[in-house]
Amino acid sequence: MCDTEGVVSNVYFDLTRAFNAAGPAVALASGQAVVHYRVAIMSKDGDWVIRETAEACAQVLGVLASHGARYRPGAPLDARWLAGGWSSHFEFADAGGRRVRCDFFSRPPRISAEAIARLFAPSAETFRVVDLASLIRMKQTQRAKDYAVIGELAARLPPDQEVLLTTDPDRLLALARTHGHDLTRPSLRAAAAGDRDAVVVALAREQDLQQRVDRASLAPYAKAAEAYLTACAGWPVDERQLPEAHERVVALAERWLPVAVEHERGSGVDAE
Amino acid sequence: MLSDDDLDLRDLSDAELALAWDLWFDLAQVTNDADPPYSHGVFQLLRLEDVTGSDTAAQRDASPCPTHHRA
Repeated sequence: MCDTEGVVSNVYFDLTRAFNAAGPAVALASGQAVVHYRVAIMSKDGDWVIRETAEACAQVLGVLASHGARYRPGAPLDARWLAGGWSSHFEFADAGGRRVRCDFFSRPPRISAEAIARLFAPSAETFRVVDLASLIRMKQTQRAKDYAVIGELAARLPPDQEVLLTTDPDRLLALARTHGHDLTRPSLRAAAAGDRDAVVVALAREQDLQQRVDRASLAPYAKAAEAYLTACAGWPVDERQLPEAHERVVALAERWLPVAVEHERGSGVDAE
Repeated sequence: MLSDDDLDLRDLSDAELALAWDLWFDLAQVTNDADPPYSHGVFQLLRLEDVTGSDTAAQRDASPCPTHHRA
């Protein structure tokens, strides 16, 4: 979590404070966290790591209902599905008619349970943001645009952490001289040898592997959700508004959406 | 890597950053219809046709501010 003073106000930052007004419930993540760290303005959606409790879900659903939000096709905001790695998705229009999308998940990829628990440490702070190192790991997605941001986020870390996460070849070459002790990272090994071309190639391979791993991790969810999404497609949009829609989404999910998803092994991406 | 313009956010005051974000958010509404249905979470692999009959087309029809959507 990042305790802050004088934080910038926008709809997603304000929602973060509202979600946490009754106690720690969410931490701002992804693109809006990148805005918070003043790296780039790159996402018009809001994403939060939500605490995996019924209380946190109820807090968030209450705030969303007060904004007239409705469910988008996705899992119910319910600890059972969140614990299975599912995500929940909502949408509303702000006072200016602008689309506000709100996404929630409690098991962000590549983040340890301890790091998640730290996000919700007891405190009166309502503006909670995912820490830099966790944010970088969450950004190791299938999307190419995330990797430019990772380099800039990593530059804000202490050198001993930056050297493990940066995607900038020149920073890696510079850091390898003083912090190049952990040679399990191939790009760092190349940097320690002073071979810039090899660093660039190793970084590209790291990125490609991370993208493939991320994509492979999502595929089982897409397959497991097929029947559920078909059921959702027949549900009129004007009946998806909170708070009434929540019970219906839960009922649909109980029938069509498995809580746990089996991850296939042997895809090849975990062999490297 | 990001351009110098992209990285200029650190030199903005809180108020300037809020204004910049608000202007950007306003302009970004233009691409709403072209956005992928999900940018985060486990549904990212789905395409628009996978969630046909969901909220996208109906939302376009019911938008309170049509000028925010691509013609």
